[in-house]
Amino acid sequence: MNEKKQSTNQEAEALKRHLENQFQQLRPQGEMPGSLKKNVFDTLEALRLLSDVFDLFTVKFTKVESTVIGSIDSTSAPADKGEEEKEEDQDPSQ
Amino acid sequence: MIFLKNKPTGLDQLTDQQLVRAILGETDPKKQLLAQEELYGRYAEKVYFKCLGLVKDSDTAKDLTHDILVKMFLSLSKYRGEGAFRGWLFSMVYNHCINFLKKQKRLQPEDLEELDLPDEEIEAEHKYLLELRLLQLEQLIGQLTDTERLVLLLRYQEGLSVKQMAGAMGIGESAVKMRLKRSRDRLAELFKKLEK
Repeated sequence: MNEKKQSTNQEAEALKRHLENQFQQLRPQGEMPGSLKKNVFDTLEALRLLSDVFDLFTVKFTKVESTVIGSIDSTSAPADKGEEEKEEDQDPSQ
Repeated sequence: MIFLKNKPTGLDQLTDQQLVRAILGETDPKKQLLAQEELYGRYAEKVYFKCLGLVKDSDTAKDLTHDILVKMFLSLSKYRGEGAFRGWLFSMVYNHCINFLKKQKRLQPEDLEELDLPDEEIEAEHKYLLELRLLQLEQLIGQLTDTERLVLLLRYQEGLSVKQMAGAMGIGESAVKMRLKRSRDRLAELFKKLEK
């Protein structure tokens, strides 16, 4: 019984090795398309640009926006104040 | 995109793991591109021919290879360097191609029967597959269905275990064993016809 099982195992192993050997020699015919490299790196470049733009509008844009708003506030505040003062100086009856 | 050709960089001396670290750690875009090109050169052709073997159509294989390589570069940070890089990449190839074949409904629906088949790949009627030679296999492989070709390639060309195949195909191990058995049956049947 054991001998029979051992023989079956050996046959199974031999068949497995044979199939592996034959399948590993299989090579699909043809050549890899030359344009593939350009396509891959163009896509990566496009994704990088997209990521930069996205980054600009999420992180940097808010920073830039707050900086700009801050600078507008700081520059416009004295002017506004000046205008207010001017308005106060004017005679309300006029 | 301009590729810098034949410029000695020393990158070819690096192992895959070192090359991946070089790509991830490089801040200079030109140097990073050179490292990416080196990795591309090592694996693009292998990925393409694996895809071609699995889907049997050069245009589809080209599209799949493009997507897999882009995905590879974008997810390099997920490669932890624990196993071989090629194993990590090739499992991405199998998953991508299997998902494609599933979407195209080119894979047979999962077997409902859960048979407890042994791991051994021998059936008495398959003994004469030992006579099968490469030229004959090249003829027969085109006559197999997508599922039959896929399981035989994953098992005997890629050397995946039943467990690994189950993981890649998203089915149970017994379903993989059943598909393997049916695929061997079919290969044997086609081989018999060819011999007559």
